[in-house]
Amino acid sequence: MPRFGKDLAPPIVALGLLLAACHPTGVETIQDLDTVATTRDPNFNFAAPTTYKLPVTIPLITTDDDPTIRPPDLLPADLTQLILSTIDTEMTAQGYVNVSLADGGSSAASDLVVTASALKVTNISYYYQYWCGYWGYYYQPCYPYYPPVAVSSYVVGSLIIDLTPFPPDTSGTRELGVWTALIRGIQSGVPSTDRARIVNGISQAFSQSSSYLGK
Amino acid sequence: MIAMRTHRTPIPFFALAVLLVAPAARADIPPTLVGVSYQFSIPIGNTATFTPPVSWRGVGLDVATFIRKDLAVGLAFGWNVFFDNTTSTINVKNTTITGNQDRALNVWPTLVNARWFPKISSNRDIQPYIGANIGGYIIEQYLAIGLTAVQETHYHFGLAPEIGVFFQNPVGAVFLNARYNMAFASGGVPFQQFLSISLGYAWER
Repeated sequence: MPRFGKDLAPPIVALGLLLAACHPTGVETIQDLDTVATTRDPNFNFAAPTTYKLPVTIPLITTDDDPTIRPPDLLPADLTQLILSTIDTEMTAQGYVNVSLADGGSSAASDLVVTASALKVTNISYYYQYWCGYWGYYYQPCYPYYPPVAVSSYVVGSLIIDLTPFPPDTSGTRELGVWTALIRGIQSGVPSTDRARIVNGISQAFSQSSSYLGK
Repeated sequence: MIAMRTHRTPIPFFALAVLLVAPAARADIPPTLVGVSYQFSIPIGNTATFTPPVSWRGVGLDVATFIRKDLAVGLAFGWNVFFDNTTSTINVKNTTITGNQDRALNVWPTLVNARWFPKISSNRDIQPYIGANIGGYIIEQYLAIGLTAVQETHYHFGLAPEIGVFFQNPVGAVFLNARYNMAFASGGVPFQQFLSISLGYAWER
């Protein structure tokens, strides 16, 4: 009996460990990495404000530029228009009134000011060829060939939307946002897909906040 | 001289006693069973909330020694993996996050147990039992949203009632059991529960 048991045990254990070790990951497309996060000031009464104003430009913040040396670039006009019109639609759907449209936006006071900015981060990966084949077995350690045989870079774009009460605070020197949305994954290099991701991301941000933002 | 004889006398007696008793004691050592098993697990409660699907990944190792003909004590180790991929919304304090999530629970039970084997027939080819486990569960909880991941590992005190049956054959025994695992809250990870079904093979060692 012991002999048979010992013979059978290793494959059973190996099979079990193999099955247990499998750890599938669900990421299959770049959209699977898209994330929408919203946060709010729990002390702010969202029932009070009824009007808002939209910006006219959206700054593009990158890791390449130092904002203390020169101001950030702006998003292209078509993307700016898409983002602002989507925010406008969502704010209206939540029951707020856009006073920017009422009189050109210059003189009308609003309860909330919407600000938006885009954040661009470029991640770069290098792939090296190693001479770790047959000869590498004898001549350890094996080193990578330089230069790298492949370089891949991908852009991670995020959109940040803030709602700020107006006037900002008693000192008038700081903006104290009461609601912030971070929409990650708006730039993959495929414009048509990216536009859909932007619209879906903004809609999701307002949708998941409607319990307190909505009128 | 008299005193010296008095001191020598117990030594041969002790040696004789050891010689006589030792074989009998060795013969009384109960058989030790070693069992390995494949396990699948059904999540319940908080475990099902975090990772709803049935876990098909699990393995177990059991060691048991009979202290009576119908009673065995032992150790139980295991590894159960719960996993889910979902796109949903979670709330953390005043922050709401929506995105594709990888969720995983790696559970390593480390339990001591007692099992009672009631006599239901003379040949004991089919031998059911009931048991109780107590000990700890090492639970690693993993949550990834987008490119951000959070992982924490805690040791949870736990209990696990168990029922099972051994199907004995000339070379060992196939066993099937169900264990209701309860790992109490620890380190912010809430009470975890799952029912594990084991199919394994045991042999004497």
